[in-house]
Amino acid sequence: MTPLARSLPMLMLLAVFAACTGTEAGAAAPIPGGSTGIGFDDLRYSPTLHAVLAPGGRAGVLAMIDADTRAVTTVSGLTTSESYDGSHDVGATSVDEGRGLLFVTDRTTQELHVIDPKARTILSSLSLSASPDYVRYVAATNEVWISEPSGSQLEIISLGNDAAATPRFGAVIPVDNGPESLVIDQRAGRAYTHRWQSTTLVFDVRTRALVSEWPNGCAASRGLAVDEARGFFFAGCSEGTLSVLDAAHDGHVLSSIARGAGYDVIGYNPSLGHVYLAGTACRCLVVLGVSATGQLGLLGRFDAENGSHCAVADDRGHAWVCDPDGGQLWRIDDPYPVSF
Amino acid sequence: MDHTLELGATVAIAEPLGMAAQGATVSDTTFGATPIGLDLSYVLTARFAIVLAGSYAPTIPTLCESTNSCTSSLGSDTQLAARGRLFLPRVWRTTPRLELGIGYEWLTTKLVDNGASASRSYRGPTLASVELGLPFQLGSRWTLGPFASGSLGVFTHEGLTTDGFRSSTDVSGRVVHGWVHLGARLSVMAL
Repeated sequence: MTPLARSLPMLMLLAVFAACTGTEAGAAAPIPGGSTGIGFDDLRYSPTLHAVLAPGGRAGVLAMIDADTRAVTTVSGLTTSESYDGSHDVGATSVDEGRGLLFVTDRTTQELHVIDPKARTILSSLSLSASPDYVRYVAATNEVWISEPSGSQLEIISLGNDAAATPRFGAVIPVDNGPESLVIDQRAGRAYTHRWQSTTLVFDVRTRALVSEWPNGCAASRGLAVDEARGFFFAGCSEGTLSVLDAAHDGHVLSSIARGAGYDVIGYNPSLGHVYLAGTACRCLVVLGVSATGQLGLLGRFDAENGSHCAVADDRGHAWVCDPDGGQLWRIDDPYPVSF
Repeated sequence: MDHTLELGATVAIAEPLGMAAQGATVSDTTFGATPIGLDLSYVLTARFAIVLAGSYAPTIPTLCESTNSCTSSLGSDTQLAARGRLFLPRVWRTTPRLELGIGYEWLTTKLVDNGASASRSYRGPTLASVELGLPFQLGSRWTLGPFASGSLGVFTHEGLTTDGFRSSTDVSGRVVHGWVHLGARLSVMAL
């Protein structure tokens, strides 16, 4: 028996495992000043700017990454820090868009900044009452809602009608055992946030009242997303489960699937019906498809960098995944067909 | 042959490999396992025995964040196997044993976070397992020695249980997973 023949069974075994564990593909978008690492958390996509919005943590910038060219422009003036400890507790960590402006929260200074993305300047700022986690614009009320888990509350900030959308304190909603993550269904006028375990809270953005609390299928609740047109609410769990809840029928669980693990911030492309889940425990990006009836199915799995826990979708068929240790985002071409 | 029936006990550490289902590696939810096992073998000839073996292994979770959570989040891997054992020529003070077999496996991993839990379960056949043991004689009836083993299997069913949802389905597509074990085995000739 030749050495090659003797090695053949082992080579076949290795080939089977290699074929099964995912693929690595993508193009990097390094954030200026991020080479020593950035504690990424929230990522958003702006269809109007045609850019992925990436708060740059300790790098002190808000990065706007062109979805096609990956060219990065930045807004500076946010908290900087020389050291990177692997956490996402420093500087700008969340962003949202509304009225042609960007709303950015800075964890170090506990401030909300209103930014003009074209002029790339900070127009106005406001001190918050607790450390911010997620900021979301609410069109129906001309407000931004900010989750503040350290204060167990949602803080509501009213925006002025002036060009700077001058922010001022509006109200606080206590959230016991939360809030984790935040998303607004602009069409339905609802705000969704998780408790840390098991359930999701549903608020009416106009009355600010809690209208429902739904079991979300999570032991450890993390990311969330909504499909406003189809009435789907997606609940992501750290343990690797994603559930689709029927928002029009009191959060009835339509389907759940468990793949990967260590999820946090999830991305969703409503045109494709694809959900993107980046996990620290699996070091992977899992792509799931949701059918018109809310049934989830696996589309594929890609390798991801150490610490990748956040993902976002653009409208050009890309998923973007954070690479905190590398201080950059990876753009993955989504090769899968529409799921609806 | 003076003795025809042997009882063995094993303790090991185990490292997972491969995929539990499409898009889900075994190592997504567990770093590994610490199986303890029992086996009963019947010696047919000087060179061959048949073995029935079973093991239970707490699986170590990847995600828990506190001692309480990690303890509560221990999963389990249970395996039953039927194997043939070949007694190899004596080397130094040991008579190496090579075992080949098949079996069945039940794997459960979970996360418990402040009382809320979610678990994944899989089950399916072990297509092949191989084990090499080096028993050293401790007396006329007892042996103790190290062993290394590996197994390959496929899960045919998967389940998901959360506080708000429960499902059980066939695993679509066939992917292979495996375990590599390193451990020690104590045995006694029973008859």
